[in-house]
Amino acid sequence: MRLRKLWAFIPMIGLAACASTPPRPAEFAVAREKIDAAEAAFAREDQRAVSYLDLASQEIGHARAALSQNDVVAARAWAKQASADADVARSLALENQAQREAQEGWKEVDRLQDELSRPIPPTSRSLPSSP
Amino acid sequence: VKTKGGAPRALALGGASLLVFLSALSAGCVRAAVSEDLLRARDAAERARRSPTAQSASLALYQAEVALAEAERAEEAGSRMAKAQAYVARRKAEQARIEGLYAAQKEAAAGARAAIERLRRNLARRAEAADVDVRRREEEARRHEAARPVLRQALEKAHGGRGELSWDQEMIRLRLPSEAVFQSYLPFLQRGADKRLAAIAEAIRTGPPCAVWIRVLDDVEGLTMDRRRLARRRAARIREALMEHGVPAEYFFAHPQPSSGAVPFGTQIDLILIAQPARVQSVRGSLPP
Repeated sequence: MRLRKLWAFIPMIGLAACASTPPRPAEFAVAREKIDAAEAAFAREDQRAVSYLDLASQEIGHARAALSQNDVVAARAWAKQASADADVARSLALENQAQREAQEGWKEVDRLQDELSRPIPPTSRSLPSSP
Repeated sequence: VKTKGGAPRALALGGASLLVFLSALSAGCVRAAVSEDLLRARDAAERARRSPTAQSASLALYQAEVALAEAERAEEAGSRMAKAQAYVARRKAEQARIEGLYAAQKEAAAGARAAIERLRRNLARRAEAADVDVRRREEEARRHEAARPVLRQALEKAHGGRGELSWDQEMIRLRLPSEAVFQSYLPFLQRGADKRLAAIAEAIRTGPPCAVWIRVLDDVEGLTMDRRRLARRRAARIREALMEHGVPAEYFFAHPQPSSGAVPFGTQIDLILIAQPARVQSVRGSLPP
């Protein structure tokens, strides 16, 4: 009889366990995607972008901690902040790459203009001279 | 009007109204206060709007404005999420500003690429033109080389055994004695000399382009002039005769006269033909600006 009562408690224990860890909000997945996108844009290699990326990683950590304490609102807020920081990191990395590309391009323009302004070197073939 | 217990009642009423007034004032202040996060978001949005590249990132700027509006609405609630919204709005504004810069950099890079393409095209054209130039020069030189023996033969025939022809790689020299061309002590042509000069002119004309240097040496005084003047007059007379017989004026070139002490001896006329450089179109001129 006692054993039967015990069996009746098991589903309740399970339900209680489920209730203790709320499902991850959608903001988590969005933030993760944005961090991945920033990393794909080589934000880790950019001095300015990497600080935003680190910030985003920290915020995701805060979001997880808040979720483990059942504070869904705080978790969502941290995840949103992480997304925004990851976006900035990605934009900065892309802007830096474009800037480098433009600088290298104009350097090449200068080199070619310099080459064009110089006379063509004389040919090695000697021309006979005769009246 | 004083009544019993009136003073404490008046005091109580005054205190209550003061309390109501203060609480209303503090409520107004609370309502008017804006969080630091939202102020920062507003500042960032203003910077993004004023950015010189704002027009290049209109979508990002719009998204930043939407985020700011959401933050403004959320601020009224004053919750944790309001703080996050203000933070997001600030970052969106920063992102809009960066995307404007990104667009400007991309535009600059595209401009550089176009310039590189144009310059490379010009360099290729210039190299091609230079190659054509070299080929023309070579062709011209080959033609000159082929025409050289013909010119020598023509000059040999023209002087009619009265002169001496010598040549090297650079020039051909026809030396004629003065008396074969000029009357003694005078700058006038001998009878028959014009015919000889006509034959020489034809040989020069039909040969490859060349520069003609006429050097007349006279170490005898003229009848009416000194020897230097006589030499100059004779040289001028030969040039006139050759031009009359069709040698282009630009073939002749002046040469500095030797100083009086350095005049070589002899009475002779030297016609020195020097190769002219081949005339080809300028390479620079054929390039687009």
